[in-house]
Amino acid sequence: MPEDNPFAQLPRDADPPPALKTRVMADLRRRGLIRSVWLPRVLALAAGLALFAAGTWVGARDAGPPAGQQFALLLYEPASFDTTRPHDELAAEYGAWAQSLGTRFVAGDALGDQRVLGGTVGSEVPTGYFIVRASSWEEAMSIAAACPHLRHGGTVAVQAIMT
Amino acid sequence: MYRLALRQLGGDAHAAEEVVHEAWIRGAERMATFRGDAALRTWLCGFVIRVAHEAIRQMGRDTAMETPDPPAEDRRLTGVFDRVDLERAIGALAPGFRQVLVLHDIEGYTHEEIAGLLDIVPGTSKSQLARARAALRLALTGGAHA
Repeated sequence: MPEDNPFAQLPRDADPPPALKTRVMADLRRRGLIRSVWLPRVLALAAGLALFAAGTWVGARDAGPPAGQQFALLLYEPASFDTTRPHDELAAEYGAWAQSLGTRFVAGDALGDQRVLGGTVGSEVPTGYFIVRASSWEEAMSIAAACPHLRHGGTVAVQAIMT
Repeated sequence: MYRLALRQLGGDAHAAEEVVHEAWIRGAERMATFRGDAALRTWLCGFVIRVAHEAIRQMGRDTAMETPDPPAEDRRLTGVFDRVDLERAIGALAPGFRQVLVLHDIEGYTHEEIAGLLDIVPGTSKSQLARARAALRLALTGGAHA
């Protein structure tokens, strides 16, 4: 038991009652504040207590998607990528950025292992993606240029989705 | 977040649930304003602290926050105490004392940060902390040195 600081022995977190998670999730849905999005880890981190582990996140209330084409932003982690930052922090930062896009944000998530059929692909494997809606290539590139992945030495490939 | 709410509210589990619930709603509504310059959990805890403060005010339990004069001496609590006794003593503090002590001595917030969160001046935070420490020391030791 620490003598210098008796508060150090006190736990910093506690599991909330299971019913609380259900109640809060239901309320967020009812208010239109949840959408399926990037990073269950954002919430796992934010809750710090597994309050939400369902892989959904909270989004701004939207008036509906704007007109425009969808683009995929593929995130790569080359040798220049800063691997020292905790993944949870990155997840929170990326999630917040996605939310800041409002209705231009469509979807996003981290990508895991890759398996290939019918031949070989390049050695670079995307580690995450966002799908955004933009009215032009210029706007899509402008959105991608603000992606926090670039600030950490990552690369972002923008590809039009043909729908 | 839940533990923080629970401590702020002196162990009132029902009130803590309400606070966490409301904090999530407010956080969700303002998510677009989160810029990632602080950990998301820290950002969300700010809502917990503010909502808990509002709840305490509504319950009319924060009269201690108005107390102006700090005690003559302010010493950080030291010594060996049973964890359960410590939690109980913190929970029994006046809400105004407890909020500041939990935020400063347990959660590590500065007086300036506490002042911003609780809408008070830093001097009040310092005064409350000094009184909270004195009250906690008295509760745990009955006046003996700690």
